[in-house]
Amino acid sequence: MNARAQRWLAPRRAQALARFVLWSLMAVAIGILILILAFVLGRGLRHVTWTFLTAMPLDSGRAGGVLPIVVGTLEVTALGVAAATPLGVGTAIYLVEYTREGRLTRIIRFGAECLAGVPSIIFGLFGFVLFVLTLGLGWSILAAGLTLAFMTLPTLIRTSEEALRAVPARYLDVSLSLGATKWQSIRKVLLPAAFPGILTGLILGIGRAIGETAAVIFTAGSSLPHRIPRSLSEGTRTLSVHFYQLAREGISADNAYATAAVLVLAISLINLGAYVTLNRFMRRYR
Amino acid sequence: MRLPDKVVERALLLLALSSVAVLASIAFFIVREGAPLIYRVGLSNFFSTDWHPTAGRFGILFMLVGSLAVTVGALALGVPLGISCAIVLGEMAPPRARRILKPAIEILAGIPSVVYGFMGIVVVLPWIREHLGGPGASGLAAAVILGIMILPTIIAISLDALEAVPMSYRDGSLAMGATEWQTVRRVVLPAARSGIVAAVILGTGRAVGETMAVVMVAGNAVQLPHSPLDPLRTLTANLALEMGYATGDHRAALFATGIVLFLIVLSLNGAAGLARRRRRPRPRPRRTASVAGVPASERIPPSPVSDP
Amino acid sequence: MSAPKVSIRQLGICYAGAPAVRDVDLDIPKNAITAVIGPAGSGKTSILRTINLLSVDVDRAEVKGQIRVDDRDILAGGVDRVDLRRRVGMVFATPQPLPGSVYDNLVYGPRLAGTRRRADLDALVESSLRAAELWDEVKDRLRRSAFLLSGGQQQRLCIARTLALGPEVVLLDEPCSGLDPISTFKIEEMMRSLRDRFTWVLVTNNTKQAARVSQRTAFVLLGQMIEQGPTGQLFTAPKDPRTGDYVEGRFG
Repeated sequence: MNARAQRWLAPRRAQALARFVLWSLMAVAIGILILILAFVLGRGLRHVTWTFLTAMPLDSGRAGGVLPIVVGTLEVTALGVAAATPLGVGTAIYLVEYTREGRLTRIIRFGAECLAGVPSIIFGLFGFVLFVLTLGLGWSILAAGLTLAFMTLPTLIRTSEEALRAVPARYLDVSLSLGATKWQSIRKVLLPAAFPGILTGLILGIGRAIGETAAVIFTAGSSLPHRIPRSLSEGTRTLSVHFYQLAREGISADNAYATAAVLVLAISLINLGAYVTLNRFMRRYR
Repeated sequence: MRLPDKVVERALLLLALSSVAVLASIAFFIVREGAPLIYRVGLSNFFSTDWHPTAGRFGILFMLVGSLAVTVGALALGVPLGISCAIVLGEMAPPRARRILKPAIEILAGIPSVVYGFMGIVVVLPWIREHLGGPGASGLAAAVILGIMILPTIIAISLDALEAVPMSYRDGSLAMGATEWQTVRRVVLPAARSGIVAAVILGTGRAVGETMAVVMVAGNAVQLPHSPLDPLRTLTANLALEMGYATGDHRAALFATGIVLFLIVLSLNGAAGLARRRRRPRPRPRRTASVAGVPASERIPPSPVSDP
Repeated sequence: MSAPKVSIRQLGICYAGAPAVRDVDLDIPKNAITAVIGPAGSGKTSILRTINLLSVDVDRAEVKGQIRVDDRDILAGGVDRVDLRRRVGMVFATPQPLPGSVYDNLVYGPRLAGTRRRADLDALVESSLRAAELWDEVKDRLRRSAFLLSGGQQQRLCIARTLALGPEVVLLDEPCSGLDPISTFKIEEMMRSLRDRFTWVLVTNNTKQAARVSQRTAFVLLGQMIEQGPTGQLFTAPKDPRTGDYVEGRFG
């Protein structure tokens, strides 16, 4: 080995250098991410008032509040998660309890992984063709909710699968030995035991659905609602879409910051909730 | 009252096939809408530089180059930062720091892309304008924002890969007198390589597919960018910008763009899947036991009261 | 010996093609305690888990041969698993309460079997807890989580839970492994006092326990039945030298 290189990059020196570089890079990365959070909340929270949350938007969003937008967002999100839950949990139950690892599970897992990687804009195109046009739902809460259901499906499958695998395998033995069928065992013992973990997936799905823009803009439309949506077949504008319009069109910086703050705060709390739930759950079975 | 297990199993199998079915129908619909146009105008026209949808000319090459450019830029920024983060969190940071930083990163992963885009508008664009010149909205701005956006993906998946490396590898290396960094570089990283490669590939997929943030900062001019400071338009941005009003062939051309995007992302996912092929999901103890031929319960160590 | 309650002939068990048990014959007399002994990995638990078909349904074991319970071959197919498992109850190696209260654990099986009336369930809870000699210790905390009981109490709860099904056969898979000597003693006492009411099959690693409580003992080694007979005879005058070596602790 080259003597000079050895002197310059003696293990101890390399160690110190690597530590320094890596720690600095990490500080930069985490610093950026935290700055974003601080920036948005710092500029936006002071504009988030009770009136802002409970008033109708006025003048294209320049004035007034976001009430119908919040309601529309909640409806789209709730519909999405409600539709995704049976699919996701059912898939997880099948993967964990009803089948051996093999070609079929590989196909199912590969499908879910690919779905997780499909960009949201593609989901937007798909939802637009399938729900808005082909099924004739029009730009509507229903079309957006169903599109989001497909988007959140992979998260839900993964977390539910992990949750079911974390339940002690012996519960199934015990339940079967007490005269339950397999399905009764799943329903009465395994699912309740895995519930907190499944809940984590639901919460993460909610977070993703609330923050979604590209898929929603093509399925729920983007026109500003002037009343609280009365049915699922009405179009709506979600918080993210509203924020996008405010920011991109330069309509109102204050209201853009305020909307961003609501969005970021809601999603951070939701994700924090998911994390805490998961941690409790995993600790229980460790 | 009692559902027969066979019925339940069939029903669950149907649910389990839903994600595959969704994937297939996404493919079906965008191909149905877009493929005829590609066929009609021909591949060479479709991959030309001439995008004038109103004149019936649909060449997406500039957008393809735009997507490629911002993705490469995003990786140049995101990969070193992300992997460094993962190494520090996984190998060097004290457990306390890890306990705080890991969830923090997961929470940051949930920040919506429009917020990142907005940060680009209010922070990155003015900075580029003042310090580097040009209009601000540019490929560079998009690359910076995307680089930050893919951080959580890269960190989380690389960290999983590092955590999957058995502790005994590190112990073995340290016991032979290697420093922490030598252990990381010569033992841990090679062992975690496939997972880290998968992290980078999935981060690439995320960068290629990101739409709203890019629309907000890239400038969106359909042109060949000559410098990082020139505005450019990506495939995704093109979809988001023109989908709202496109009709007829124009809309078909946008769906055809969707096909290209879908193929890119699908092959990236396939590549990530291959890279991670060795990492199987943890089987339940019971099933490993059956494979070994001995039920788990027989492996319980001798009871402490075996000879009272 | 009168006709056995359970009679196993030519039983073979494979997991994913790997044989774990070969050509085992075993007779289990009614209303007595039959012990199955042998070193770890000899296939005792596999045999036990096949008597209520758990090995087939959960471990995906492939089985061949015959297991007659009251002259009905349960391996022949067409057997109602739920009905079989109510008649052939099982207690596992480590205490396995289900999440929920002591009461919930006890009524889980009976409720599934269709007992709905509160008074019936209450009566069943009390009688099975009394049978497992646990009533006095837990009667004031039936509504508390089953996980709050001590290990020995949890295991007696699991036995009571099995008895609440009204089984004819009770399979015990090393029920005292991991328990302290006093808990072990209590469980052995309970088995002795209930001997005439059920057909017991006790799988144990502990040869002394087999000698203490069982009337009949079978010795399994490497998936094969080496010897079976009345417990006294097997321990004092084994026919096979390997049996003698094992019960005297020379290997295993």
